Amino acid sequence: MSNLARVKVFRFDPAVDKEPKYDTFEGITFEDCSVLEVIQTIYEEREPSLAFRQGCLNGTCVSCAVVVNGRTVLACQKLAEKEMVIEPHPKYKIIKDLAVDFNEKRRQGVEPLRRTYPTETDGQG
Amino acid sequence: MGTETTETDVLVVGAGAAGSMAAIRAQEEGAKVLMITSGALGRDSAVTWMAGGGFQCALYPPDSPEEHARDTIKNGSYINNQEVVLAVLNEAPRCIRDLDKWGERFWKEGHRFIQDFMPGHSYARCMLLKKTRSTGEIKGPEHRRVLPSLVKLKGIRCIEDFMVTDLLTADGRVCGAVGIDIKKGEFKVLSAKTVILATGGYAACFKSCLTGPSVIGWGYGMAYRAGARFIDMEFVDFYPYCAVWPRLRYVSTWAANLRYGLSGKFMNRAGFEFWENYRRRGLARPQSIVMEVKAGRGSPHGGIYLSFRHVPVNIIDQYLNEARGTVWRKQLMESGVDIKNEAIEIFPSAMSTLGGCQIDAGCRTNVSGLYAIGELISGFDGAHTLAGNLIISCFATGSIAGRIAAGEAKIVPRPRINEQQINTLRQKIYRPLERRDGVSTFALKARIKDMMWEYANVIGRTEDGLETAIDEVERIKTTQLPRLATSAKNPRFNLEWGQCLEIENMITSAEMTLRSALARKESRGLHYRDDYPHADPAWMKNVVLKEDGDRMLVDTEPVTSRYVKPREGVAADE
Repeated sequence: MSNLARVKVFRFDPAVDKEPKYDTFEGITFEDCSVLEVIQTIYEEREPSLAFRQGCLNGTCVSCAVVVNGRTVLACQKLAEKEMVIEPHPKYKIIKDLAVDFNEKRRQGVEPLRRTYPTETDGQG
Repeated sequence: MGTETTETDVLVVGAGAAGSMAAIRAQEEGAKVLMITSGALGRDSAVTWMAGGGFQCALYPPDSPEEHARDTIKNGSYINNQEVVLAVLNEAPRCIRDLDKWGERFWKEGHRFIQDFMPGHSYARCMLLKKTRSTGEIKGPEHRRVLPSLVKLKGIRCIEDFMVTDLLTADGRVCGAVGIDIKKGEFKVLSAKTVILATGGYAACFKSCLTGPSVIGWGYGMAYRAGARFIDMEFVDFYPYCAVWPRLRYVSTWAANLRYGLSGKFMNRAGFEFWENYRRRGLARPQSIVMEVKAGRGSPHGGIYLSFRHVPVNIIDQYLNEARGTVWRKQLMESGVDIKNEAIEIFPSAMSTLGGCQIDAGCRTNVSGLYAIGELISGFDGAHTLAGNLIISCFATGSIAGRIAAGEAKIVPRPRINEQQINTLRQKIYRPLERRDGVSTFALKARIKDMMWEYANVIGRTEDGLETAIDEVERIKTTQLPRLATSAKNPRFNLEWGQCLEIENMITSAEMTLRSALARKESRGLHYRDDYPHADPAWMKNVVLKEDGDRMLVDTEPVTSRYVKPREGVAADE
């Protein structure tokens, strides 16, 4: 399948989980979509329990900032790629999944989040 | 029952421009203020953070708030509430001077603000930013840079990630609100002496909209259930300059920068500039675009063309150079479209809603203790928004309501909260979470959006269509709404739960628009009925809606023209 994306999404509920995990979603339409649209698709069609933030959808409000393939981006402004690993913003405390608390800095070490995603994405440029 | 209750004097629901302004003013008056936002402060879906270039204020003679009011009322086809218009525009200069003091970087020469013309205004009134000096450049980020940090700096208490779902009333008076703390997933009660609703409009009830997805009229539903009266709900503003090609990330208003910055020309597929033909008939810009497309003269992507070919290349280059660093320019370059030779394609999207709670000059609604501000007000714009009036009305109504609500909170005693009402509302909120299976939130939302797009769009409103849509609304209300269920059951940060609770408000906003549109048997301003294509002097009145048991009561009310006398047949520009 050439026109469908494979997306790994960071899942972590601090109240329940000890370790974060990654859910993989395959067969997601991604062409001409922003990363946020891909997240919305996953949320609406596959995993309604996914927590993330969205606001203006115009690159202004900065609430949708996430890490895509290791780079911090605005999900609404970043064009989706065929292979993606989506993680929460690295600086702030995780509330759940991709949603962070912008008022609290993340304490390093307490919440594990390193670039631990698998290497299938290598070679994607 | 152990429900956590938070007490305050003035409760401000919503933290956009209007809400922030109201909170700041109320605190200046010495009231205890609590501001609620459904997202993170300054990072929520408030539409004012993405506000466009228009930002009008009458500052220097010979211009005056009265002149500004005259333009506003003329453009609103004379069905504005003239008291409200004057109150808002008289407050406007004070808001601008305060924003300047608080750090918004307006373009100034010495102490004098430099202003520019926008269509429909008799004087140059549009505020410009020092950096871009263009009427087309968006000013929302500047508001976002200043207001949320000022709210924090002033020590105003703000609860983030809190979704207010219903207002509490006792003896005909609003006495607080209930809602869910999204982060914790808990039900909470807020007790207040006065409540200011600044929850924004309901443009996201339409399939194609400019706003974030949560702008579906929370406040409309809440105020309606609390007994507020609504007027002018048939008027929905569609923003003409939404690019359909090239499609930069998401629906975006970047085409407007070009349109204003470079005086773009509208053309149909024959290269004909059709706008003048429609303007003479008194139609608005979005209406002319949709009519051209429906007549089969549109562009391949379902819009019409916006051309800059007539602008000399060096002017275009200079403009694009000045826009360096903006997201839209970067994306336009990436898209590879050369605007010097190629026309872009645009089509209107829902932007703002002119109707709302009926208010007086102090932003009070008919429910005592309840104030409406921002997009939730009505009567200011009338039948058609004057360019650049939306944002200033947010600031000015916020300023007025903040002051008056704080004053009222000082003299009224703390109302008692009705425990039974809290329990009923708690049950209502938790029901979709408890239901095993039922109607899906997303499918129902999509259905409402499609329905509104089809039957309540820029043009194409007919008696048959609107009646069909109202039947559909009734069906949704009786068969779908009571069966809504979330598939995600964990209450903490459960977006689906929030969206599930949204739908009731969405349906209320939609129904009010449909019923008003059906009632107004003429075309005026932004309301266009295919079966009544002309303005009718007999319709110089407002359609009023209110709750009556399970039914929505539709009535009309004459307009009082105390300051500006009506003159019929005036063409409206955007």
